[in-house]
Amino acid sequence: MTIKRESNRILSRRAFLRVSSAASVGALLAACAPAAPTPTTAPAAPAETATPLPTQVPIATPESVAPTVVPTEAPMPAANGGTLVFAAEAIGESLEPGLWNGFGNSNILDNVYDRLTQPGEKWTDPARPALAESWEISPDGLVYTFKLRPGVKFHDGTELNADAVVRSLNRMTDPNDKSYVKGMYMNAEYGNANWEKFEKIDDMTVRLTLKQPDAAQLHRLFHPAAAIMSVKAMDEFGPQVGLNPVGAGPFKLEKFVPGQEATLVAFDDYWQGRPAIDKVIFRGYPDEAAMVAAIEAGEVNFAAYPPSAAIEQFQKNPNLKVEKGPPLVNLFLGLNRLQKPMDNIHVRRAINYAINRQNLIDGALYGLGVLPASFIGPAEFGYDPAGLEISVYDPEKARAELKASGLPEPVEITFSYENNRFWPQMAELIKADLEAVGFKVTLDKLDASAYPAKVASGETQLNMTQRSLWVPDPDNKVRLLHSSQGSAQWETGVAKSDLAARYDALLDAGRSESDPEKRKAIYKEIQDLILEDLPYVMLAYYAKPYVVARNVNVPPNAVNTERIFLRGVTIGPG
Amino acid sequence: MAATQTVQRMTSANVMVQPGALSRAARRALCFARRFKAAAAGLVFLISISLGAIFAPLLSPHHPTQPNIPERFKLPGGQYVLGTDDLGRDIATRILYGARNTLAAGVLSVALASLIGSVIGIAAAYRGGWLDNLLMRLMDVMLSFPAILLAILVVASLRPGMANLVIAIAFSLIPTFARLVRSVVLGLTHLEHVAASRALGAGDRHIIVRHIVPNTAPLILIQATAALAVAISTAAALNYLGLGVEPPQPDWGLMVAEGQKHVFSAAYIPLIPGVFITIAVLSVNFIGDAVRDYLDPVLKR
Repeated sequence: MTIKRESNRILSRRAFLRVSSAASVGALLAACAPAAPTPTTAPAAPAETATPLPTQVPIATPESVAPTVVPTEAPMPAANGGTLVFAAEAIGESLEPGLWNGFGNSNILDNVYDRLTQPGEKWTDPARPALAESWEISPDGLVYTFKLRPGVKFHDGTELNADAVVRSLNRMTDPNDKSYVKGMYMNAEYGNANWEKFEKIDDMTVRLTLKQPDAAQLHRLFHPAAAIMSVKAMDEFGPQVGLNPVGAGPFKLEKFVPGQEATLVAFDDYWQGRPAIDKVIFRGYPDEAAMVAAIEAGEVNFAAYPPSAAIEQFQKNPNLKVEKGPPLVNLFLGLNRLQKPMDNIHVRRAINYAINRQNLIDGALYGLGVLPASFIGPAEFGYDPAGLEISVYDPEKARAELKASGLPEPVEITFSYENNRFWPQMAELIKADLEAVGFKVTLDKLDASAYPAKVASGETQLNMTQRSLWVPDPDNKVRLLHSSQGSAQWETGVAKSDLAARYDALLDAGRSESDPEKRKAIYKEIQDLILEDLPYVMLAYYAKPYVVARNVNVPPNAVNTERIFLRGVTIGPG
Repeated sequence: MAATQTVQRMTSANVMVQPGALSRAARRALCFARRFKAAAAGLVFLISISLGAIFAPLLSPHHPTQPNIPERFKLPGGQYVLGTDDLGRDIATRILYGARNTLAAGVLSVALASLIGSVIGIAAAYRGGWLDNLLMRLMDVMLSFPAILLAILVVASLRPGMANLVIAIAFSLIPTFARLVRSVVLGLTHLEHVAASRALGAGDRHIIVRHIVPNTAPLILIQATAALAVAISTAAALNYLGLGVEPPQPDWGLMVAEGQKHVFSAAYIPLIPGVFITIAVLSVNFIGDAVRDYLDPVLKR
């Protein structure tokens, strides 16, 4: 009976979806009664979805504390210690590691795949061995020889070997590979462009040869795109491997409904031991109000992207825990100098001084952020507080700079941004600030799907984006924006300017330098250049929060801004 | 004003301006109000909100778009009659300025639709033949789409904005006007006094201006009040979807959309503009019903 109850609860949402979709179709056709579909669809739902549930319930969880609780806590929802329901902003169309499909999908990838290395105890610590058991680096820093971990199994039962590693990492750039998909982006910013070759030495040894030394290479190997997948899956599914991911991660994919939902189950043969939770359901909530309602109702017990407007309300709810992340997410305005008047340094400076950042943090981020210096945040390697003097609110200076630009006022600019999360509020506040010093701002509100395309077209003047730390190394995000090969170069257009060569040289120097002090000096130089040249204006370091149910225990290293590793998460009683 | 003239002609009351006319008009208004209580209340609401919208800068000490973060989430009452929103802007001020957009969009689109619809209807009925067929089939095609869908289609293809919003709503309302006018005109052209006028050598222009337009006007008026309610709610809906005015500018529909993320924590933010939309649409509906009852000779007796 207790199990029945539990399964009913899980089913009810699906049943509800069916009923509501049936009802809406019914309403559309002006069918007689909304009550009519209920009896017909409700019994059908359990019959279809009952199959996965019996497998879920009897499985014993060896390490978790949960099983003892299951029989006793009959009426408590989610008391079986098993299922984590993870609310993402959205679920994308594919789980191809080489393509960007949104934050939700990258969270799924982080838990389905393992990589050669993994993050350290603390996010900014040196990388630790994962699928690579050990490695040797040549004295010139160019050759990495990895010994693979023996006995690691993929979800399809095949074993990890050099072929799987070499192919998984080379397929991104090899159009002849059976599983190649056009547009895989791993090339420049994640290191492939710097790879001479990645080759098999023997069955359990692989060797990576670089063109230039890269201080962040071991970190880069745990980027979500560096997923190691089963050879069998690459052969069997070809380019469709994104819909049928087979990795060696702690969870294996049971079901994926593109654009909606993914169900993951614990992988019994995981090399670091079976994860504590049995099942993870990733669900997309593109509508903020729906997400808030789902969190409040306990339908969701892990929300990685809670709407910031609702944080205070969650804090008051005794059934929820709100955890504030470290301020690692950069929020900034891109000033695209390929479009007039952004080519004018005085205009860029005017924008920089016009913005009341504290207002943005209080108003749009609900206090979840700190004032910014430059592109490297306070918790990161290479932070330089000098930028705090430049990324400041000084409307007088802004007006003076705008005068100095020699342009007739009001200076008209178009401001493009994404129509979700805190962006619209930020945009309205920024518009008011800019108009107060002599700009005339037209807001160009775009759908989340349309915005990246518009930015990539190079046609935006002012755009607003966030950058998170996918890999704990400053090269990662600085390169993305400034390298003449970086995929985000259209936000600023700097790669097409006279400074492109200087940025490239500095970036390469920073990447190659292994001495931390010297490296720090190089990143200081980059940040000084950024603050002088202002390819973008820093708005805030955002401390991205997450919300979990009271009984969900999240170990300290599980959530690293956008990287979320659910292996150590446990669900306690109640 | 044109409405009262036609009303007078139709009821052949033949009221001339004479001593006591003012008190008589007042008495009539009072009588109307007593008979149509809901409509009178609606009229009072619409007139006061319209005056409020026109004189908003004089009535409100607050700025409608300037954010004021320290003052945000102030509950209704006190310094802010209807509270402040998530950016600290006074909601009452935004309601008044927003009325300019919401109500103007409704009125303008209905005016545009009734004008174009009437021209199409008269042309179709008066000319007949292939033109009638062509125009009416076109209207049938337009009618086969739900009005809101048609409006979304038009405004999305034209680019979101206030002017395009008005065009889109008008476009979706044209067919009902065209068909109504056509059916009335068809009946009128066969009436004896029209035939007599033609026999006396009157041209098309004379007949249309002297006989047809005056006699269709009351019906257009009734249809227009009915359409106004639809137009206001469509304008609010399109603004809600972000297809209307640009964000910092206030609009009732947009205010609901922007406020809905606070529905659990500060429900008054989306609720207040929602209530205003409802009251405005209800008011127009009540007035429309009253006008119809008042102008309908059968019901009047």
